[in-house]
Amino acid sequence: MARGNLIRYAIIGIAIVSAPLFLGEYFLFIASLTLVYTLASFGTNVLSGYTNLLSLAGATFFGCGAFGTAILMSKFSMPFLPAILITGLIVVALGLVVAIPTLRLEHVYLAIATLGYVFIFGELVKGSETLTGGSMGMGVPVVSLFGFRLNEVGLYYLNLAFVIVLLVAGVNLSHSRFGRAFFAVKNSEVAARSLGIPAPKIKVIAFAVQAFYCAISGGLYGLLVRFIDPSLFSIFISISFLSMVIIGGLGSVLGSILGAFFVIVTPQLLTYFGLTEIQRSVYGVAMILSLMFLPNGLVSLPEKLPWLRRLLGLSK
Amino acid sequence: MTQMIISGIALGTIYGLVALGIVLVHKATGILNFAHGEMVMVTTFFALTLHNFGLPYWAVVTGTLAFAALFGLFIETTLVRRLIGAPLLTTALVCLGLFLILGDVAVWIWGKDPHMFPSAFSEKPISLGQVFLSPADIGPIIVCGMLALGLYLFFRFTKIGVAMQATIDNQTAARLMGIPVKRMFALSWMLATMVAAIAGLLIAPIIFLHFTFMQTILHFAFAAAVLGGINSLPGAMIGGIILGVVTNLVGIYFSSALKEAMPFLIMLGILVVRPEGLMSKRIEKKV
Repeated sequence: MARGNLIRYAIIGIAIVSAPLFLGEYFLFIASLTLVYTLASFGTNVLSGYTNLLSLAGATFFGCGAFGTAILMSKFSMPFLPAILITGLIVVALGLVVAIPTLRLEHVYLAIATLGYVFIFGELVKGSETLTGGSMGMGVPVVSLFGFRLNEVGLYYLNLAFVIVLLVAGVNLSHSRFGRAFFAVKNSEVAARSLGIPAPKIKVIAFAVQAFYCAISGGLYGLLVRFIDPSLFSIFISISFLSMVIIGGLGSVLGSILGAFFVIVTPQLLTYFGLTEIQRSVYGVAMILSLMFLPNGLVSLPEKLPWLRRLLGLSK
Repeated sequence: MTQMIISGIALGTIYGLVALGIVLVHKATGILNFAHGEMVMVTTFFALTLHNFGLPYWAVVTGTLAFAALFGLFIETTLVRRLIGAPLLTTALVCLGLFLILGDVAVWIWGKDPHMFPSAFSEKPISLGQVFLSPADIGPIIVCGMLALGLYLFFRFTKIGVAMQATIDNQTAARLMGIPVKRMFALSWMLATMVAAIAGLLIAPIIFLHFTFMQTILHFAFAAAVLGGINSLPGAMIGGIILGVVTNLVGIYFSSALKEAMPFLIMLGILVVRPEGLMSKRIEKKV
């Protein structure tokens, strides 16, 4: 069985790495977008899946990441890597402004306060026209890395590299002291506190992780779409990040990836069938159905359906 | 100045009215209804449809309230009833799902164009010495005041109101006293949706009726609810009025950008200083 698994993983790995060879321009774009969203999805999963907190600021951090990276690159002519990392840290600091006062309180308050973030973000971007281009938006410069200007294929590998590094870091985090503390806080905050786990601090860390992952995701998103404006980062994006986690699977890395895939591919399919109008309600219905009937998301589907388990060749 | 304070109070009572629906549902069922703004939007569009049939204003109001009650009942029985006792994450996400669905439904039925909506009050100003009062400002204040009084009397003196209050305070005890707890939940959703409908009828004449017209107001309403205390009905109203007046004054004396940020700043401020809000009692957490 172990050898079978090894072969399976090798095939998946080769397929992912060689994807640009056989995917056309359009499908490569979709694949890159899925990779970008996977980061936001995983970050949201750390907050909502591992620690059971609800934040609606995902879109704001995503948007700050996109605008911050673009501004540092174009207005301050900073190279890409420092630009995206510095942006990530700034966004974490912004997140802490709202996290520190609210995370001491009941979970309701984090959800409400972060809703406020989404609304003032749009106003702020529109207000500071010299930096962001206001509601008209701004272009994102082409990235050069080690002297090479990155084309679509280059961007795919760049996104892949970020996903691999950050997912490995994230998985390590979730197996560390902090990861166990996340789960302890999720199961019972009171019990966690009585064991000496500083629950508010742990929640702040989970929130910072989400802010950082969403910011990086946003920075990469900007590179991919080449043009950003405030309407791209509405409350709807925050909800779609949450829906990725719910549909894919709360508290699961594979779930984060499946969720991102669902959220990226569904609108493409709907557009193909001429049903663009119902995109939001498809997310809404999928969210509600999976909360009610599949609370552990798509990753738990093989457990429920024996035929699917056999098809995928999974034991148990 | 006086003028701005009065129009601030008028706006504030409307924020308070939206907040009232949110607080009512949160208090009764523990659910944070992010779809409340969309419920306002759908009921107001329904009112517009009735109006376009050529019905007189009182018939539009009656019909809309009846629709709102049924709509609230429908959502309660199909979705919310299954969620009683579920964690906040689940219930809030279901409401966010509902938020997306209602937005799309409104676009299918009523389209994406903004609509004018008739007002119950005339535009002609009444002068009181130096101050000119517009019935469009005073009207909402009077309606909200009457509604607040009505709700107070309902919760204080009617049998159903007292039963709802008991359910809100302690579900188990209420069940033991023979109160049909599930029916009380349904009732609180119906009541919240009817309050939403009234809020919509007051807001829509001020700004154009559009499928996204409640999104900014929802933000103000949540800020008002937190300011007054997320579990306090009078708090929602008072929080709304304070917010309305403060944002109006800030808009004049400082900048309009600061005005947009005001609800958020006030909310963060109150959470730092007095998290339970102005009107709520401090809640001790039971283990």
